[in-house]
Amino acid sequence: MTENERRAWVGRELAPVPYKVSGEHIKEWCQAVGEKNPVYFDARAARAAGYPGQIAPPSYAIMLSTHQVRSLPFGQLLGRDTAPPSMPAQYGEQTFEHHLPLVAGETYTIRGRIASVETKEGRQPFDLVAVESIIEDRHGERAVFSRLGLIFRR
Amino acid sequence: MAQIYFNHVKEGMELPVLEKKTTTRQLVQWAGASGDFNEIHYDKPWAEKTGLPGLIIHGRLKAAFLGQLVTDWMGPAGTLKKIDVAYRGMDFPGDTVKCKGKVVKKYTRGRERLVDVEVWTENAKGEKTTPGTATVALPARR
Repeated sequence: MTENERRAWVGRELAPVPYKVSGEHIKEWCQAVGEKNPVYFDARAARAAGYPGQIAPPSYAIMLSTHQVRSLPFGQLLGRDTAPPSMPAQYGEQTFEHHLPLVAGETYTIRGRIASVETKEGRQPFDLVAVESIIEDRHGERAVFSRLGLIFRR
Repeated sequence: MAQIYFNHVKEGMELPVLEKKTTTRQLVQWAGASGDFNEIHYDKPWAEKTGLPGLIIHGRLKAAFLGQLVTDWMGPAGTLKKIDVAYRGMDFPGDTVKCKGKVVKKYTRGRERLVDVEVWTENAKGEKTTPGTATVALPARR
């Protein structure tokens, strides 16, 4: 990829994507992780703890960030095929800032942008694409900010 | 769940270790729940064909383990403000992944009482495979 092609992608805003958080899915996800906290399983327990309803653990926000990332045209972005489609990339690193808990039944809007594209040389050369996302609730309040570093080996 | 208070926290203090005895079954369960169907996490011949020593644990599952380490420790009145992790080393199903953490700094910002914690997953050799940092806000004191 040339420097100009790379620059054309950096800063690009991605189309906002809606995501409805499902209480049943939070449970499945928590069972897979081994979470035990009742606020992630039961609306009544969550309300007793002061939440508006069943909430997701903070780490669940990765589901929303990757939901948008999956639909990105990475092949086009990097100018090559990135098969298999089930693996758009390896995950290199991630940062999450949490402002509000994700609540079951709520629909959030994911607003993302390509923050950087870097080409790394070396024994195993790769491209590093950073995607930043803001997850907003239906009032436009920021619930989560995330930054994912995605690795594409060459 | 027990509550920890800001005045009880000391720099250098270690978080209770969260041990995760992982299985291939758990990785399949996670694949279904997360929608990450990359074969390197459940199809051993496939994983070996790609040059891996065997099946590997999803990095994002380890990130979720570290999230649980911190949220279990901070208690119901704590708030996880920020967490970052880097995927540095592989872990394998059948391994016990030890999730550990250590308080590196406590400070106030405005009205918030904040604690920075170093977190990591550790393999049987004592290597940090998923290092990260987290910031939590804690209630003042009992």
